Amino acid sequence: MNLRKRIGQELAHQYYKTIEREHPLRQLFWECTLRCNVHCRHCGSDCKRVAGVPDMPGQDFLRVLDSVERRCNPHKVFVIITGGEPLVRDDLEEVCSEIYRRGFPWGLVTNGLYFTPERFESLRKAGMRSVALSLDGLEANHNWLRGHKDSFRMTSQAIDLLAKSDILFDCVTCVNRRNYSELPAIRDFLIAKGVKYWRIYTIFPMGRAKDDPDMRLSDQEFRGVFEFIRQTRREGHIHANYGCEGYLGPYEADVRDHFFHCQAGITTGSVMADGAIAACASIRSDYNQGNIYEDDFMDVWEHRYQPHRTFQWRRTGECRDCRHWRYCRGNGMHLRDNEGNNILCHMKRLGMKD
Amino acid sequence: MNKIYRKLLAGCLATLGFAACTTEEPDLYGPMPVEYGPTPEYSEPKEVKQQSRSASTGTIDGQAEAPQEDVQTTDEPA
Repeated sequence: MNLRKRIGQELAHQYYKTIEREHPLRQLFWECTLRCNVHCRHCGSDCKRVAGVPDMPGQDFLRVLDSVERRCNPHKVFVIITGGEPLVRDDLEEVCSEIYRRGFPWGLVTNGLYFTPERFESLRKAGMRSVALSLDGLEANHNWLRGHKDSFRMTSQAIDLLAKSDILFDCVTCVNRRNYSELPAIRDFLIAKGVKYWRIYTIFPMGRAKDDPDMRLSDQEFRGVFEFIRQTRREGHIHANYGCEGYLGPYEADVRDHFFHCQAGITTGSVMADGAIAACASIRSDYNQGNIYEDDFMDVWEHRYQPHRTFQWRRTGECRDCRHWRYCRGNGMHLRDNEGNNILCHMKRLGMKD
Repeated sequence: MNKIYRKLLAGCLATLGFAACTTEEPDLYGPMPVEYGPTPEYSEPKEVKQQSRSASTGTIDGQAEAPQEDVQTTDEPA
């Protein structure tokens, strides 16, 4: 790591500590449903979920926003609608119009299957500001992962709609053993479609993906993903980023815009379908901090979340004597199991841990 | 004080060519697309009270934020 990056990493470390002290709420996920219209091989919602949790009534989430609005500038809190698949909800635009009317910008995470031109217009009308759209390969591999024969066609249509609009959006790709060799072709496809932002992530061992050999990259492929992102960023035709997880040592700031920092519970909160107050939807329910049906969201935000805002408790096992601790601080919170152990060390997979 | 220090650090990071994190990102609320008519009446921040922060910084959060350093999109796979 060169001197510039070393200084940058230390400055970022100090910067993140100031944020941890203030923990300003900036992103609020709403898991508006657990229903979905596809059956993805890598779905994390299968982690601990039991089927049959009903959709949260929109009014219940709006009451959460009332709590947030009393203590925060709503323009600074970005509401992210996720699921399940949010577009299975017929009342989505109605609820989201209310979110917007209360002063909160909002964005959508979608698999694109129900993203028709008509739906897109109604979402825009409801004040939608951004979209994260899943694209996991070219047609065969995307449809294989999503478990739906029309998924690629609809996602492709959604990209066309978004690329012609003023909506900020990115495509999100889960790299697996099947689409790994296809990454350059996916990149070319996205560039040709006019996509500006591309987010790439790798599977972590939870949910359906945990025991699926097709989903797990070899160590060599894992490293290859970062080489690919670095090269793509250097070429500059599309703004590629690795997802938010994982301290990456020498790849830091080369494959992501920011130095690593898990923002779960620090700037990011979540309201789950059953009302649970969480930090990030990927974190195990063991780390939930309350429930909107029993607690005031902002009281919880201000006074709980200690596991997310403190780090020494994570310094166990292989993290105990790790020389990367200062900047990694135990990796992302979603990689902690119910006993607090780290289940994935990116540096280890990269072959860079002692 | 914390906020001033944070802005200073963000400035140093930017000088070195690095982005800070999403905390410094812009207000994405914005107006409605013109074809959909007027933006809802609510277009200015209301009174802001972030208890723990106002106590420690003496400032109101959400005002005079640092310039944009990055874009923000939803950060979770569907």
